[in-house]
Amino acid sequence: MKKSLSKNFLFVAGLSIISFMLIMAIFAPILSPFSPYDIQLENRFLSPNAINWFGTDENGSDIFSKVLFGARISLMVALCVVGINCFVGLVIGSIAGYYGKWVDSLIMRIIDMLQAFPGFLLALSMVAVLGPSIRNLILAMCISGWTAFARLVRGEVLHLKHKEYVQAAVALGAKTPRVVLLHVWPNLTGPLIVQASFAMAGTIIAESSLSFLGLGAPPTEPTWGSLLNMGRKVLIDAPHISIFPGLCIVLLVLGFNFLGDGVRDYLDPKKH
Amino acid sequence: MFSFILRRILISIPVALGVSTLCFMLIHFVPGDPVDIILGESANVIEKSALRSELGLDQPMLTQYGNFISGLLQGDLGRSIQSRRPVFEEIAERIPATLELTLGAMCLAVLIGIPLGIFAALKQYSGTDNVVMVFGLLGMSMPGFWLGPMLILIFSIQLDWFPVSERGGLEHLVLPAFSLAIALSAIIMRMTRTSMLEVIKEDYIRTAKSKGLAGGKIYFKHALRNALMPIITIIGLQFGALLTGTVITETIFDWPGIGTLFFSAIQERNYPLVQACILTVSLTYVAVNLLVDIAYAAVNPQVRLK
Repeated sequence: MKKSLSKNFLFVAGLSIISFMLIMAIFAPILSPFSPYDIQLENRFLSPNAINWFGTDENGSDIFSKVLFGARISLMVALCVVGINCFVGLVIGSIAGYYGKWVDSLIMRIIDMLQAFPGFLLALSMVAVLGPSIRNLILAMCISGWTAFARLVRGEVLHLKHKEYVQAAVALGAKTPRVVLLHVWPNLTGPLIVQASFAMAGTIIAESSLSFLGLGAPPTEPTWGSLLNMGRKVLIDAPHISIFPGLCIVLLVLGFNFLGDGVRDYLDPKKH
Repeated sequence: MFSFILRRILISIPVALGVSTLCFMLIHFVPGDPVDIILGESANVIEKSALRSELGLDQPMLTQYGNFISGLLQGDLGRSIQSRRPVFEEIAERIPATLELTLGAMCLAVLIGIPLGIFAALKQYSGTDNVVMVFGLLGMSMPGFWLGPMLILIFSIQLDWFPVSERGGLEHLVLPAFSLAIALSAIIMRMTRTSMLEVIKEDYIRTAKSKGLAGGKIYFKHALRNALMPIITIIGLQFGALLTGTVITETIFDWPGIGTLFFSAIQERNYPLVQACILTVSLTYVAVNLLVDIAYAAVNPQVRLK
């Protein structure tokens, strides 16, 4: 008997964390007590207190508000990147797996080459060359990000296309797009959710790493990475600038790792 | 075995060529004129054309590419724009520091990951196992650029156990290596656990148990040896992630390695140096993957017979 997914601790914990952060991000304009762009130089480097829950930064801006708005940027960038990568990987992986032969070989060689590059380094150099902006950040993380999805999808499609129900659909005269769309893709949902979940975790870390290095979103935007970059320079005098945004990154990334692990355990026949 | 190595090396050549081509293309992705960006729009025409011809940008694309590849084969990728020294010379100076950091991190990750993984596997589904697994996920979720400053805050500033930054004796290595190692140790731990769990269900372990062998001997001599294969593979494959991670870790700890060189090259728009750094790291990555595959085949005949 399969245990229901709602009884899986990792899945429930992951989903709760992600939902919580998502709500915080969506309602950031309502929930945040101050504007993240407010500059109040008389309130610089305040420690956490009743008014500024997470303290203030070098411009006197409220860190709690910045963290809320930072969640928006992190989640938005990660969703865009993973969405694009998932879609591109799904299409290219299906083509490779379904058609096989030289198409498959060609696609796999391209994937091998892109994966030979450490992904973060490629993104880093692309942003460095193109210039820091959110658009370039998303673009840079999509260059090789789709390959993991494509590899996964190809493997699954190779296996699925020999299944009786797919063969039956082909025998009944269904055209290739119909077979792939209605008979193959629905069976990829599980593995794709797992992969997307881990990809979200990785993308959030990569995005904030780039912002931390000053290569992500413009410094005027309140991002977790740029807060940490600011905090690093005043680590001794104002550690709170580094602590809270970092905890948010850890929490959100942990949420996606939990979710991915939970769904993977659920889908793994050996565990039941 | 020889034919396997040869085949594997032959496969690596196009990959290495592709990686080099991507690096070559980088400077051409620069929006606008790279020379304008390096020198500023106001620089005079003579300076600009001198730099343009030094970078080879005044030649046709194919000639540039040919020069780039032949330069690469001869170990000459031009000079750094700021220091005027050959880029590979600057990189070579930084290699020992980066190597020290990566190897230190690798050792730490292995020392933390493997024992914890074995421990979790032997106590599968127990409270301890769950705690270790959650810590593993936590380790994987902790970005180095946050962990680094936190370690400095706790161990250098509060407790004053380790120095804050720069390279020196072993005590300088501890914090940067640890902050670089934590994610890898979590990955190794999970791999060890999975692999051990598979092995301890094997018949020969049951035989060893029924012979009355002591637990330690069974788990370390019979089980761990057979479980090591996937662990070694993952360690090799994660070497690239470690190398990439050094960019952040070195920046935080002022570590004088390739990472800081790369980062300052980016900030100074020192494109020849940027290209050379990426190329060095990526080609090392390709070479390490090649070595891991060969080592894997050497110990596991199933791989090379496929």
